[in-house]
Amino acid sequence: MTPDFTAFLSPAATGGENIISILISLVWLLMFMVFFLYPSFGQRMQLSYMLRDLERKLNKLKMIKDEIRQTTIDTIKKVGKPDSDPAPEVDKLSEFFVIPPESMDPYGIVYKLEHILEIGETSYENEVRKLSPHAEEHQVKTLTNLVEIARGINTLYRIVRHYYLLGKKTSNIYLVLQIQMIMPQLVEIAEAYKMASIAFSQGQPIGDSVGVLVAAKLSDGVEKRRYNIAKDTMVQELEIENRKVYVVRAIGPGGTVGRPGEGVKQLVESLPENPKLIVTVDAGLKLEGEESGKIVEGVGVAIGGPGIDKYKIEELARQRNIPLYAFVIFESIQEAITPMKESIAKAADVVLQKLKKLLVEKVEDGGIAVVAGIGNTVGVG
Amino acid sequence: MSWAPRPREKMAQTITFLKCMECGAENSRPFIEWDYIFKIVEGEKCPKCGGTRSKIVNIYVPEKKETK
Repeated sequence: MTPDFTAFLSPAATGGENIISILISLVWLLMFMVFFLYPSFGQRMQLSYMLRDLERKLNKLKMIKDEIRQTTIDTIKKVGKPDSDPAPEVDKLSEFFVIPPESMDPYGIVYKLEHILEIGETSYENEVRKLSPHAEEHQVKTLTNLVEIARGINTLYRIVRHYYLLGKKTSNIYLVLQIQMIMPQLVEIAEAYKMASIAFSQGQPIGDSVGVLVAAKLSDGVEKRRYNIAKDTMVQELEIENRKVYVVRAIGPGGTVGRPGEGVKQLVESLPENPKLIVTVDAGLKLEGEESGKIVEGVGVAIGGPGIDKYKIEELARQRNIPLYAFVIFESIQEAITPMKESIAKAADVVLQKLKKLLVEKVEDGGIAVVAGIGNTVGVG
Repeated sequence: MSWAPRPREKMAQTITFLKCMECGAENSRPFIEWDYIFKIVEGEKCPKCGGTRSKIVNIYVPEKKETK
């Protein structure tokens, strides 16, 4: 039997053909026919691979979303001590939306947007306050930020899932390719959201708090008077080398950005004379390869957000011819929403010295200056 | 086929820096929930003078210094 079998395998014994070479030839022929008769087969294979990769990353986003949701619920239970399970309310708030105003006729749009955002923020905060009856006011503000993080990650997950399912349904490789290309950045943002949820659940200062921290350090120990000027915003009056300095910032230690634009506007309008300059201090996005905590000085209003506060200060400064200076501390988008790093905290001290020097150089004796510390005031009293 | 989860990088510990309001000595400890900068902390003894009133002056995540 064995000699017959080996004879069967050996080409020399059977005249040049054997079962294995026939099978291999058939497979090659089949593959050739498939690629010739079904040209989009390669693309289908690629689409299938991309969808599998996207599904894996989508599952990772879902895990992060669920983790953040659980952190939010646990923190509300611990701090707010609600009477009933807050999970359904947290899920409802994760789907909360704000519709921006119609921009076809842009005249007056800034104030329309301000009105809508104010209503949105107030009602969102009130819902969180109802969920946490035993939380202190500053804790309610921080919990509101925490629920907003849960809303943000929920929105991110839903959008990615939408493109995944749409691409799968329509077998559109270009649609799937576009979302697959940006998935690494989206997953990085989701990871940053997760760390941000931990920071807010404990009331830790984040990278974005650096502007407020500079303003708070400027007035620490030398404050003469403090009063509220706008919602969640206060003014601290101080004197630096015979110059009157008004520091405008959000009221901490709860998580809020306040209304620095409205605060500066109301303050300047109430002063007997125009300030010699308005200085804003904020965190800014760095480019890849740049050092975190790098400090840059410039001109203009360093305020992020939808643009309402920036618009108000610019309009006021133009009307009264007040110079605008800005200090920006560079950090990545992840560092802005995660617990504050050493390089950023140390940069605040450097900016403080530069700010004092600027105030002495640009404002004469007896003059007035306004300093606005911009950022989220979580963890900064 | 199940994928084993990658070992996650441990989140770095946040440190709270305090300044004694009696002798001015600075010390640090791990962050406690709801610590905030400029908070007056009572009951924590200063390691230098034993004073019980301190002010939190900084809170951040220390960065690992690269060893050459």
